[in-house]
Amino acid sequence: MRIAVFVKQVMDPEAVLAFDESGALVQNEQNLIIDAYSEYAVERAVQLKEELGFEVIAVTIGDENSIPAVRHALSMGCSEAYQVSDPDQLCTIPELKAQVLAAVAKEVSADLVMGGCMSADTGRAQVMPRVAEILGLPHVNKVVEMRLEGNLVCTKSEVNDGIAEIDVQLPAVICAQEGLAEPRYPSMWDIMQTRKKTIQTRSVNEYATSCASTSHLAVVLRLKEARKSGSIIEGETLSEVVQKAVSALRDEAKVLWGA
Amino acid sequence: MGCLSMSRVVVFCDSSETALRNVSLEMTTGARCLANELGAGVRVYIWNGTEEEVAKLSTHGADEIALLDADHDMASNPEAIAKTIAKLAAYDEADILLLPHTSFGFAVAPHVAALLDAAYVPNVVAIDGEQRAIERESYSGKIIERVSITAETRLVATVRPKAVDAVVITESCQAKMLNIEVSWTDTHQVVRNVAEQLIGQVCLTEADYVVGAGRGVRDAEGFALVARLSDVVGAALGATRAVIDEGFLGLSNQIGQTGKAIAPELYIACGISGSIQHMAGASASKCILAINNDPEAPIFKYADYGIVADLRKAVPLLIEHLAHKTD
Repeated sequence: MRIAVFVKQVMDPEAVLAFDESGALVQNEQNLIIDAYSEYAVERAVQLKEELGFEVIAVTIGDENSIPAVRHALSMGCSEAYQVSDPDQLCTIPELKAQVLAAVAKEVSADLVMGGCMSADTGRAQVMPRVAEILGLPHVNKVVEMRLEGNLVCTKSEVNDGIAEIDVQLPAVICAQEGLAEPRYPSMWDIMQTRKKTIQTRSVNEYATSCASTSHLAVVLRLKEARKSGSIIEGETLSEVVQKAVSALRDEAKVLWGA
Repeated sequence: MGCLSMSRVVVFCDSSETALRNVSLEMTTGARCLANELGAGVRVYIWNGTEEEVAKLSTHGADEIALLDADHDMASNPEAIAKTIAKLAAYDEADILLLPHTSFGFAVAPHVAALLDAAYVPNVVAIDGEQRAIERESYSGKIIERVSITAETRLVATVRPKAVDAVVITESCQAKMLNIEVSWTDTHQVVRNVAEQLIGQVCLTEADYVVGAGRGVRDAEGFALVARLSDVVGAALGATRAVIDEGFLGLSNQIGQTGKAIAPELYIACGISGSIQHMAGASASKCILAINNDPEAPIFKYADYGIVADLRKAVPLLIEHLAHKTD
């Protein structure tokens, strides 16, 4: 059994963002890390490898900055790693990225395809569902628990106000939500061992056939205005502080009293 | 911008809503604003709507309303719904499809987009009809992406609850009722069980008041205090991941990037540090009152009012004051 797990390298969520003159986000000198949602998927895949002896292949797309993401996945226990080189960042178009990843999943003969239900940076939340549609495979989103019973993937998936139990047959695509597995910290030994492993490289041009619909989307980015911080309420006693807070809510903010 | 000619903006309500939620009215008003500029009609699909609900959708901007059967076995199967919606949208020649940015939309909308070869724009926080644009949040709520609507691209978007104002556009209820026969198709997915988990009567994303519990509650007693505050205020109760992991509340009550995005009139954050992941789901709150014993906690950078104190001491006083707010 072979699991392909897609991982994304993202800017640290704590990063202070800025734009260059062309209106693009400045990526240089930002701290890059493996996306948290990718990491949940990698962890569960590696657990399945340890439980059932599967092969786990980590795959990423991007420029050379994306390589540490698959190295990290290797040090967590993945068996192999692929980097699809995309120096011009063509795969920032989700449709194109899905095409490429679907082709790679086929190439590595994946029985199970895993990845995050979204990424913490762009949060477009669509690459994995698109991969499923391209491959004609069943997909479960926002999975918080999964186990295998033969060819059946039994999942618990987050729905609006609760949890749905959804089963699908392999081959399938599964999207990790926070909670699926607690990612391990690789040991120094794991990290050292990983350095010796070869990362297979491919070029995005080998897979991508055409630019799909989102390429027509005209998107302009801007920084969201930060919330203005208010005031810490001071007072002689806590009782006075709370009293002042309640007065402020009523008289200044005009909330809670239907005003 | 060139001349656009579009036939239809279509709204699909959430199949899990047992009664019409505000987000459905908000999407309908948003669709109307876009449709007016684009010379298009607005068609709304709801699940088991009552006469009163249909009338509301009509006054909020729907031209046509179709009822779908929420009691059908397939109505809780995301794959079946996605296939059905894609079929209906193709038949409707829908150019823009709006779904709510809830778990329903999250699971269904990207498949609809893939099936229709459409672009997908999730997490929409503003609809600008006049400028023919929609805006979404990304990078943990630090960036706004403004997407222009063009005639070349079919668009599927999910709209965040409370992002768009629901507005009564006409007093007359003249929307045309459509009879749509849905032929459900077979699915790969087998949905065995759906367990409700939400605690509290008020839906987090729709709530005007929200009380949130963070790591500072420390134990069951601390959590019970915060829960009591939410009762007194008549607020929905939410929490950060740390509290969910402790088992005090279910996943459905998580506020943040991973969980739900709230936009209440007032958010009372109790013992919450204010991580970027939490604030991605809470920063749209109109007013934030934060209680935290650490004066350096990031939450105070976002809060309108801050109380630096142990919540075990401050919350009981707050309950006392607010219990008498009707006096």
